[in-house]
Amino acid sequence: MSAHQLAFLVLGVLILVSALMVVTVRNLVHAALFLILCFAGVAGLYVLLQAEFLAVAQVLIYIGAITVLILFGIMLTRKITGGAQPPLASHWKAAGAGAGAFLLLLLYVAMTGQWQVSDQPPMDSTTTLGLALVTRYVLPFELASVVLLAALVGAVLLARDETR
Amino acid sequence: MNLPITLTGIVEGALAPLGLQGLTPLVVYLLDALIILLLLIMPVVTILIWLLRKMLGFIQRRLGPMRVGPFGVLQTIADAVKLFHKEDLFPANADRVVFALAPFLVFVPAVLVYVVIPFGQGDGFVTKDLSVGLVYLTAVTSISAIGIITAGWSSDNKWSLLGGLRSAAQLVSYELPMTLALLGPPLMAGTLSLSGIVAAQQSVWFVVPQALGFLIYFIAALAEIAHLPFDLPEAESELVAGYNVEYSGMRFGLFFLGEFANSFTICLVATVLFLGGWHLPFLGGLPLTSWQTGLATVATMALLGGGIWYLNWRRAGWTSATRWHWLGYVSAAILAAIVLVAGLVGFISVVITLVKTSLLVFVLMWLRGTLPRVRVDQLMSFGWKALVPLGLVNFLALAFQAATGIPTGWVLNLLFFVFVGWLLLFAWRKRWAYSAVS
Repeated sequence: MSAHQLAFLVLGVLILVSALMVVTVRNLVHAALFLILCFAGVAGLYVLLQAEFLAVAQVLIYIGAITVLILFGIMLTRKITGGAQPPLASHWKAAGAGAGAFLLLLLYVAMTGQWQVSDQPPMDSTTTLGLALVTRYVLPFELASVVLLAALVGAVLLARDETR
Repeated sequence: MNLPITLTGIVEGALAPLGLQGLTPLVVYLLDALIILLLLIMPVVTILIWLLRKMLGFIQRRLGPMRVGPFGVLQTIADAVKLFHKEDLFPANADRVVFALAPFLVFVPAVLVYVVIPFGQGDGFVTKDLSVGLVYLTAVTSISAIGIITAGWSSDNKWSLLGGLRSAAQLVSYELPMTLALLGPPLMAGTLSLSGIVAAQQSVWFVVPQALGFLIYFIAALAEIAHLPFDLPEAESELVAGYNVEYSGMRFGLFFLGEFANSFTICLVATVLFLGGWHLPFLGGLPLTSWQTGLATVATMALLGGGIWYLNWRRAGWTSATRWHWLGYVSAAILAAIVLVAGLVGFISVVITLVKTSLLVFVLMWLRGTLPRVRVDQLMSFGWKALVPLGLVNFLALAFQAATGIPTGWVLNLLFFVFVGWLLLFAWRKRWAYSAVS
């Protein structure tokens, strides 16, 4: 077993265990912290795949921004001590069915798909990624920015003081 | 004369007889980490804390630490020893695991940043020159917010929690203008690698066309590290000490170390991105091996050292200054000899980078000694209504220039002066807050 495979195994176990802890642990702040661990593991996978930009973006966006917002949200809405919450919400059956179906779909694609494997390391993934975003994938890119703008405007509208 | 001694070479030479060449990269990275931690962060932080206390003393017309060692230089070490001896307290209702973990979440990112920072010219002075260095930098610095929030929450103390919440809001708000300002240098250099950005500043430092971006970055970075005037997360007079109020011993020490490492980091990043890194002013074309460059470096350092010594003499008088000033001369002479005789390329470039960084650190301490703390509403409105629009304009103008070739630098520099004028006007109107209460 090469070091590469060992790293993959360690990261995989880390991701799975921490993801499991996120949905089973009773303390919401602990769940958020396990989520960070899970995201960090995914970033590690990207590093293994030599997609450094993706790895760094994963840390920047998911760990640095989204989890901070989640923690911020938890602390603003829950009591200070956090307290024990029921770990599974009432819709867990439907959610489980959806997630299970998605897992089956993923497994099907992974098993039957024709995967192209390249031996050469990518030249400069950042440049390629940037060019692809403004040429081939310009429509989804612009759509995503419009969605984000709409969310921003919506947040301002919700938070606005109506009495003024 | 460029000596071919690199860490990789030494390690490989040592491991080859044992038949362990395969481990070279791993050992080199471990050694790099140790070097950064033990030879850079610890001494720098130790010196910075002492310097800060001396500077604040100077500003407040007192001597600062004087007891331990000459001019009190060993005071920080004494404090560190004291911290190690203190009891590691846990509050009764604290979330023990999270409470124990939080200081590391603040300290480790503060150290991780140094992986990509080029201290000098050449591969020997950067641990790993990532092609996405700048994004890595922003990503890693953003992790420490989690440490601060969880520290505040796990202490089960209302002041800690308030400090943590304030810090979360502040970090999220000021990350935006900081990132917008950071977009300037890579846009002009055409690369995200920090070494590449420094290399692109050979003729003109980016602070000249990007004065606005530099100012936005510096202000936003001050808020990111919770430095005065934006130290609301740990406002002593409002929250006791904010998120770290329940911490004691070395866990508190880790927060402290992280904080000072961060203030050194933002100055280092500003140097690398905007102040030309290892390039000398007006001498960018000269090769760093030439004796002129060495002489210019030594002269600059002598000027700086002499200035600082003069200030100290003015402050403390001959009685305390004369006894130890020969130490300064001797060290300066040794340094000059090394620079001139050996002419090591990297060494000179590291010295230049560190001198520039120290000047920025001086500005930081100066601000800390002079500015009052802003209010929460002022903090938010300044971030969102002043810095974010300015950052957007700055970025859009640069992108416009890059796309069309029409120069937009004069617009940005005009904006810079308007912004500085507005800040000065604000300070003038609030001058009662800056005057000493006596």
